[in-house]
Amino acid sequence: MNWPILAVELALAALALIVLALDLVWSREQQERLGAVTTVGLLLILALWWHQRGASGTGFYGLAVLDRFAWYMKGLILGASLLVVTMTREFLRRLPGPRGELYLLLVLAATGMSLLTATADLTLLFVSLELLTFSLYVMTAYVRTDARSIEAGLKYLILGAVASASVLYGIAMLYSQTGHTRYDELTLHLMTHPPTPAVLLGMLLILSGLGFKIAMVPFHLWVPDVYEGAPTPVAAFLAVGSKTAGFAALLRLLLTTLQPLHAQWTWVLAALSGATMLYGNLAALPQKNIKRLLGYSSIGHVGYLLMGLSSASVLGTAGVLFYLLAYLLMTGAAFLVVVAVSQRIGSDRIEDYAGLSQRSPFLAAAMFVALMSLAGVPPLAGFFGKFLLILSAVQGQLFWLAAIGAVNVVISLYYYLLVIKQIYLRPAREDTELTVGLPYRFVLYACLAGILGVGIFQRPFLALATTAIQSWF
Amino acid sequence: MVAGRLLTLAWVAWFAPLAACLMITLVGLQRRRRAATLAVGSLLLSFLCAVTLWWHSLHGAALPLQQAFSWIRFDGFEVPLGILLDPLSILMLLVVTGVGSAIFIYSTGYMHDDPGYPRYFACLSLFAFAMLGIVLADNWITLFISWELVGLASYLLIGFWYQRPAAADAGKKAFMVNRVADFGFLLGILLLWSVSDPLGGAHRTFALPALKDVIEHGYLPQNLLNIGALLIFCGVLGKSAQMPLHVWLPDAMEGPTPVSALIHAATMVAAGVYLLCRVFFLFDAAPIALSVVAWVGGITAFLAGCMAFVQNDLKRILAYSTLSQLGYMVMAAGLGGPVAAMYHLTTHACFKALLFLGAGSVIHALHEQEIWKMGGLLKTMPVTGGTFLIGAAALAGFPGLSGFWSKDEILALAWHQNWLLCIVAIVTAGLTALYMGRACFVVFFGQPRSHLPRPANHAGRGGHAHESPPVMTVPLVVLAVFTIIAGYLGIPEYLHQLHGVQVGFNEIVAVISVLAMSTGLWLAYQIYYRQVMTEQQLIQRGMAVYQALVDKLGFDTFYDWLVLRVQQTAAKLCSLFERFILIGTLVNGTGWVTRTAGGLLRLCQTGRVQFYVLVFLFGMTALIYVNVLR
Repeated sequence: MNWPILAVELALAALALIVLALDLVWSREQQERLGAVTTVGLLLILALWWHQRGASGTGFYGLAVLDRFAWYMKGLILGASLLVVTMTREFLRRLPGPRGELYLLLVLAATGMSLLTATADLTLLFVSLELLTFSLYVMTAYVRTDARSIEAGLKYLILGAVASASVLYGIAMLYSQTGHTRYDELTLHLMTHPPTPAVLLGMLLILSGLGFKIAMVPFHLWVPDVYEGAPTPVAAFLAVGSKTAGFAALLRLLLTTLQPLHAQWTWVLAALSGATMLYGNLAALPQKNIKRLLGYSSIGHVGYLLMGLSSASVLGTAGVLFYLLAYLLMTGAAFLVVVAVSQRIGSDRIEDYAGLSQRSPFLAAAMFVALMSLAGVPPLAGFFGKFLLILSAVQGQLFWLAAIGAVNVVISLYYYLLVIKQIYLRPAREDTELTVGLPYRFVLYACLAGILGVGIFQRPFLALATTAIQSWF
Repeated sequence: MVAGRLLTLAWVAWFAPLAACLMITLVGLQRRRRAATLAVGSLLLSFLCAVTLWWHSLHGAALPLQQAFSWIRFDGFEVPLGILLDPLSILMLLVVTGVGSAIFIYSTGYMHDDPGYPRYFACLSLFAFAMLGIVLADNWITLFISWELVGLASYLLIGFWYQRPAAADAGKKAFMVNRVADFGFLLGILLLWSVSDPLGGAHRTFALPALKDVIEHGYLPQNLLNIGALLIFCGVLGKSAQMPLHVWLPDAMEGPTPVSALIHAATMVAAGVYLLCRVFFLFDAAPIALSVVAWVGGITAFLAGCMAFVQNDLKRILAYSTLSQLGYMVMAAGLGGPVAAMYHLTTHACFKALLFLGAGSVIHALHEQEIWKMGGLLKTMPVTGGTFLIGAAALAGFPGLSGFWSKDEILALAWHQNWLLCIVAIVTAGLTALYMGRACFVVFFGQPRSHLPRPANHAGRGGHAHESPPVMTVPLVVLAVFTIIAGYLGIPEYLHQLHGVQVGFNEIVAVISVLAMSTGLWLAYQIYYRQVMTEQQLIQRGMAVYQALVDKLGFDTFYDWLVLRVQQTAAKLCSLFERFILIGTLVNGTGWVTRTAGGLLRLCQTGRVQFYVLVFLFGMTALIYVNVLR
């Protein structure tokens, strides 16, 4: 069976059970400590993950695999989970009612995400995808007293069901044509047989379903509504966790199993990459709500990531991995600020960020750094990530795509700067100081240090990303 | 000691001030004592490292040592971050950290009552970090980044009292003049980078040792080297304040006096000369550039000496004397003698820091900078006065003091290489003695001239100037000791690995220079001590020359005209073009298109799930159509 290759996932499942048990046993007051338990658990799992560096192997009859790529992506997912737990603890402070489930669902979703990175079989792909998505449905609709949260959950559920059906149908198509579900066997089959229309159909259906997860145009329409309605930590999890996991599945599937068909998918992804970038960034311009804005901007970033994927080169793929790390740090930091602010001023409207620099210089500065990095300003992490992705498009002769990428940097800078203008140039309507607790502050500092550190000392991280995917080329 | 250890020491020496700067800005900005302790402590640590390195270099450490990390790397393009340890950089490390430490310690006393005390020390530490980066860099990029950081730190420090318009303007002026110069410098770096791979492509490099190899193997044509060297020299013009880009240095006196000392002695202006010596292999292979360097240096030395003579502000006299001495160093480098240039740089760092700190001590006591309101200070401020006189004597080239030995080295070099420049240099030596004698006789001898009431807090001292506290006088004494002995420490021998012409001590030149100095000193004694004629009479005799010198030979007027008339007109034209064509049509047009597109896309966001599912399925179908069925 080779259990150790899924050690992280097993540990996550165990953590979920512990949280569930404690939630049942503990009284209401004791439940306050569930957040701390989850944090400590995740930190221990992070240590386990670090211990596994360089390990590799397959197991579970070829269903699952641990390699450098899976290890890298698991690190991102654990990081995202830690950030989201921090936000959740802050978020639940103002929310009456039971609190244990949110941590439980969060850990379960993280388990699904982690499993998705280790998937080497279409059936496990589907199962882990559903584990992740189901947890997120419930998390999105978690604030039962808030109609927007319920609505967002319902929308996500219906659209998610369509996407899942699409993936499942695609899997069935592939199986019916090849007789295999394991990635390695599928690859062998596809290499030796010319692709039939049904195989292509299967591939496109799976692509559509996964495109929904990562919010690729035209499967992205749910994003702004769900981000706006969902509790902010859940929106953050959708943005950083779920997207990373989706990309993990997509990268492995396309670059290993469907590699023989790459002539069919690269140009599709290139076209969709351009459309996604343009859509995300243009639609972000008129937004008034910070969560919607971040939702659209996250669509724009998916466009950048697809640019690296569609070049299907070492540089492009390493760029995707690097950018996912940068994206985790900068979007994480932005959402940390949004959670902290909305908990204190009770609003997500951008105009209510006016004068944040006077009310909390620290949060203002953090938002500034995060947004500048998202816009791709040197020397921050986002700059170098975008640079790699555009460079990969240029090297892959996709000059038009590189041009769209460059234009979008300018568009995105515009709407990020609008937020910064509110924060720094507009006078505050109230002058109560916004104070942030020390642990929260520490996490935010870590994100900011990461944004700067990864941006300035990019070499070790780029080397890590490159070794993660080198064996595929 | 193992090579790795030495390199570690160098890294520590470089980054300790940065750590102090970050710690002060991030956590300690409100705490005064901690800021000073951090800054002084970190620079003393750097100094300790430098001394250790120096000791090991004297005792058989294998130099040069190089260590570089690749910071950013793609195919055919690599940005390194690295250090190079050789006698040159170790000597400069000693100068910067040693003189810097004295100035830092002195600052704790001088700036004691300033509300911006922590900010001051943060900027000072940044300055030291940037300067050490220039000293240690083994490649153009590290050097250029540090070079620009020096510009930034100098801007912050010269404009430290930003509430005063003069200080703010001076900061801006220094920054902008340096930026103009650095543009040429950057072009030079890029040019030299682009030709640094003789095979023409994949292995271009920013590293200095690699460039040295390429040049020494004669792979590069001489025209190209001349252009490259002249472009690099542009940077030197700005940082080392050579004609015609010297205009920022006298204005930089608006900063706190210890900052002036730092800029003039150990950092910033020394950077240009150091760069000349560091990349001397480049200039050595570019004879035209080298002669330009020599002449620029000679002319600067002479004209700045003339201008120093007409100044009435103690700090400005010192500022012009720095210009003049820098001219000597640049000239020495241009005459093919980097050793002589570095030798003079080292001794000059000691006595110029001493002079500025002494001037600061006087200003601290009197709250007055004009020499005609001072007098007889040797009695009231014996330590300051005594050490200042030692520094002035060294600057004038009094036999036996360090300035004498190093200046003699340069004069002997000129004697050897170019008689015309030798005459210029000897006349300048006389001028130096004259204007320093003027300053000393007026300030420290004679009767107190000031009738200004002293500020209230000085009333208890009986209305007289008083000696500064030990935290300020001890650095003065230490620097004075080094001013005396620096000529006997074997600096030229230490630098023997540097290429270029080396001529030893030359008795004839020494005699001539002593004669020139004595003449200057004698004139100063006659006019300003015995007062055979007053300054007014002197001015009337040479009205035209005097006026030209007071007008700084029209440099500032010319730049004002350039900026106000030429640049301003061009800027207005550009502004019209921008307002009506760029903004009116292009930008607003693009903005309108973009925003409209955004608004239209928003219409897609109906909020209805049915619509979303429809788009999903439609998109899927479209994908399948174009991919499979087509």
